[in-house]
Amino acid sequence: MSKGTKRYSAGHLRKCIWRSLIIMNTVTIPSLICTIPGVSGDTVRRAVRALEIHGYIGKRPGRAGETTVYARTDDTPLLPATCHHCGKSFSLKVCEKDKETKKEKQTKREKLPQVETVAESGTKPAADYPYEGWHVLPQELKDRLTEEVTNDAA
Amino acid sequence: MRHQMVKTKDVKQADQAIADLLNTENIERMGVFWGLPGTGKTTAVAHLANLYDGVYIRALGCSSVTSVLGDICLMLGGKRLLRRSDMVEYICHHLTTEAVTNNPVPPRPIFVDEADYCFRQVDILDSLRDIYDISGCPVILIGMENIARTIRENGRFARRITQWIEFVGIDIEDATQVAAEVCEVQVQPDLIDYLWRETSRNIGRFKIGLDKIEKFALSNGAATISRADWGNRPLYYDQPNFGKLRK
Repeated sequence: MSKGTKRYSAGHLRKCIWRSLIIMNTVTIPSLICTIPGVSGDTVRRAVRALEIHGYIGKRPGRAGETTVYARTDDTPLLPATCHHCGKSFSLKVCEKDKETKKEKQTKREKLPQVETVAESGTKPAADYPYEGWHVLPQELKDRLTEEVTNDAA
Repeated sequence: MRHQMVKTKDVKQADQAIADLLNTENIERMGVFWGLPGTGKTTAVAHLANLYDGVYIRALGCSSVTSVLGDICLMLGGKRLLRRSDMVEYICHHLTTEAVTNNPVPPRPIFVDEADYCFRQVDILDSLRDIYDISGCPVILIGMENIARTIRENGRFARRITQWIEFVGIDIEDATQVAAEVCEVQVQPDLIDYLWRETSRNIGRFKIGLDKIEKFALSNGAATISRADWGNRPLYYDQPNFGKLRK
């Protein structure tokens, strides 16, 4: 962080950008750098791009070489904490309502019941553990052990 | 051009006025900013609103008390309510309390742009007075050049205004400061003086002229530029002056 710049939280920076848009109707990156104290150009560009992806601001058509002008495309007076189009964070690079994020996929995997399978024994796979009667030896195992003990004794 | 906010005298005065309104006890917490177009009011208000986390609304020609209070409620994350008293209570509560945690927060200024329209209905200013009385959050009215005169003619409101800030535009010192901080080439004092006289204290036009000068200097590979280097090139394409039409 260079001298004279402040560390803004992403939410606070987006709020400042939205406020500047409401006051000035149209903004450019230089005007945002002027009106938001102590912020750098790269930070503003990233925040503006995030708002553009989620459909809150749009570029005004202009000629090549001119400074890009942004305007609001959403009439909400107060910017919400999450995008109300997709319901997800503004930090996501895509605004799609039904698209699962990596975190959501991981959470879904963790919540799934872990099914334990009994490999190559020919017996039926174990159901939800601990299931009723889990501590009771299967009959065939009991017979096999009994036969071994008897054979050893003999 | 370097992109940064230059703290001209007008901006510093406005900043100090808001700080005084926020920090001084037992005063009427209302201020007024006024000035001609192009003196930097909107940019300064946007900068100060972001600095102090202010609430900004714009009055319209058709504004009423209900619509103004409703706009403030919307800016605070609420809805327009049926009763004005409910809206005032909501506004006063949410200006001084954080929405999620209900912890007290520092007072936030309310900026009312195009406040000339507020003087068409006395109740609007009375409601704003109730808000700053109850919440302690200052109200800053922003208007065109005649708003100060309108307020002075109405003694009842003039007594409520503690801070009167006129945006007069840039003087030669401000012009030199702007050129030094914003321009990427060194502009000689004679050219700054010429540019300032051409712009008539208008900071918007000054910046446009400075941009042209900088581009000219950079395209010619010059690190400094003076009046002689600029010559008689036009800075702006202003309205022509026509003489009397001969029949």
